[in-house]
Amino acid sequence: MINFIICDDNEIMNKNIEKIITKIMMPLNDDYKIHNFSDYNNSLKSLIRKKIGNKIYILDVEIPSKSGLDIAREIRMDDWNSIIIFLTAHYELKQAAFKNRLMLLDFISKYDDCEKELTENIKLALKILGTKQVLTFMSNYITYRINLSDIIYIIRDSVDRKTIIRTPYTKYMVNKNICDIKKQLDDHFYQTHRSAIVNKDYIDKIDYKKDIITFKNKETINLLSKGKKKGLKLCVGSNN
Amino acid sequence: MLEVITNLINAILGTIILLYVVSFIYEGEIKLSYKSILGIVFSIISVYFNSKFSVGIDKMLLSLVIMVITICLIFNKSFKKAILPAFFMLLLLSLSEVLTFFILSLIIPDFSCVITDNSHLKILCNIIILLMAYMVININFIKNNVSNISKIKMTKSITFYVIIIITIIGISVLFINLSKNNLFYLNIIMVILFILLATSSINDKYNKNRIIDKYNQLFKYIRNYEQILEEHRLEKHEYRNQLITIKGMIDNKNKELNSYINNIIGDGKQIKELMINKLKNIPFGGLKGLLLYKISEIENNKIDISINVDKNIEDFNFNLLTSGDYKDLCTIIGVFLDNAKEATIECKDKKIGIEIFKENKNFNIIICNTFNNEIDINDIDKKGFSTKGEKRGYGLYIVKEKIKKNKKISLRREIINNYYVQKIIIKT
Repeated sequence: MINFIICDDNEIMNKNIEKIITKIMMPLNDDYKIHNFSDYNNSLKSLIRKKIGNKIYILDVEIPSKSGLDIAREIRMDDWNSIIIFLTAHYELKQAAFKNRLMLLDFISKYDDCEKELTENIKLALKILGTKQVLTFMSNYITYRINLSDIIYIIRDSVDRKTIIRTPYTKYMVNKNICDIKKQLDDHFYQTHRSAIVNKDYIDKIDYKKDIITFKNKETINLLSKGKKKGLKLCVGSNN
Repeated sequence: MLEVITNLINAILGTIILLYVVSFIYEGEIKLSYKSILGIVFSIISVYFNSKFSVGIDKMLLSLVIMVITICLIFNKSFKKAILPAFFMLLLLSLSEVLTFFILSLIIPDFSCVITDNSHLKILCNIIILLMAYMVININFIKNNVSNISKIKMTKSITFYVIIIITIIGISVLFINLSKNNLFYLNIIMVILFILLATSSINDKYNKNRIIDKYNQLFKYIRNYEQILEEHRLEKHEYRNQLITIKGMIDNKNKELNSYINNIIGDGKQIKELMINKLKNIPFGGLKGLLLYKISEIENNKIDISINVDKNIEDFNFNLLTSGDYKDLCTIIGVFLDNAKEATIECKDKKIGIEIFKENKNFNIIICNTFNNEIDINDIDKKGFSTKGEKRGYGLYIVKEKIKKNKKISLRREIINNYYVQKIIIKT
């Protein structure tokens, strides 16, 4: 069951969004329900807290009593898996820091080809839904939330006794056991070694003779144990 | 017998003058209570004995002590707060004494000899002095400004003068065997010091008022500016919506019209909302000033900053915070914004976000920024730790110390993707 939660004070816009959703969902077999709101109210509030399966929020940034960002914050108080898409008249928000901070899928400008962008976004959302998206853990009083799709590899540095999580933008060194992290990962990841997990989507080349894995960002690791080679070959494909 | 009566009249008049002057200072009437009656009786008795038995400098010091105690009792003030009014009273009496002696010595030749011989005249003189004090306090300028004494905080210059006066009195007691004549000179010194004290405090007040006026003017200006911007924004918003509606009404056949409207809408995209307008919901005060200043600094560094302030934040009562809490909060925000700025400067993707909102009745501020360094966050609060090189890294250490002491403010740190997120939570 997929819940679409729309909040926009413009009724025409609301109807349009509903139409777009129906158009996308009709050919699919999934059950879905559309919840429509024109303003923030108590029933929306309770819906945010309710555990009713997958949720896709489509929110307007400017609604009468609250800002859409306030609603997003309320959702993200304890729900990091629902998908939030914003509709906005403010073009500059597309680049704003909130997008990443609140893990919003996208800001869609109401001016441009809103229908097309919204359709693409909803399709993307449906693809992401149901899979795990975020790696969350605490290390030394800091909460980490990292998109799984951003993780290139995770290795254990036995000298520093720290686990290194590599993403395209940075390297996190955390005091966390690699086994604990593995529990939160999905099938995009493969453990190549006792102290290494790699994201298959980021693998560029694998040299099975020298045990070297090269990633798309040109980094290499040599943590590939004998017992894991067969499994890796199977899931990556033999053309590597 | 006559002496006893005159002395008693003197004491009662003295007490009345004291109450009269001090009630001006505190801008309040005297409430009759067990304690205030006790104060009045104490004052009359002690002033009576004081003027009867002690002479010269002891009398002056003793009357200071008596006045402090009386003020404490009658006006229910703390000892610390009673000192300055008592001091003022003492100086007022000194001033009137100097004036009286000066006038009387003009009228009666050889006045100082006459007064030492005649004790009745002496008491009469005392009464004249008190009347003189009554007249001085009723001078319009003094009457209007005397209440400021209770508001004076013991600033450095005031403490300095008070210490000088007390030292002079102390030295005179210890080393100079005071004759009646010397006492007269001492009185003059007291008056001069009093004038210095008054001018310095008036000067302080004048300066302060000038700054407050300037500040208020600026705020008034900003308030007007914000109103104009807000009206402008709403208009623009409405206008854009109209355009979108029009765009929806045109069928795709009219390509010329379609592209023309698209052009107009496209122009609208370029206009960025001004930062000052986004901060409009934050109540006036130091925090707003700090944010405006820091944000303009960040913008000057070509960092992309986005701000989101909850509409309901205006309801948050900053008066619930003590001035200490408020100061701590401003320090923390200042340090965080500085750090965010420095962290993003080294980044390719320079972005800072500020969010201010209410959540579960708590006031929250989130500052998030992109970062480049491969940081080990465990080291962050350690003194002297900095990713920016040596002799740095005291900011976060100060923040940690402040948080330890302050129970109302707490912090939470998060890393969300490539953003370092700091949340400041203020409990109410």
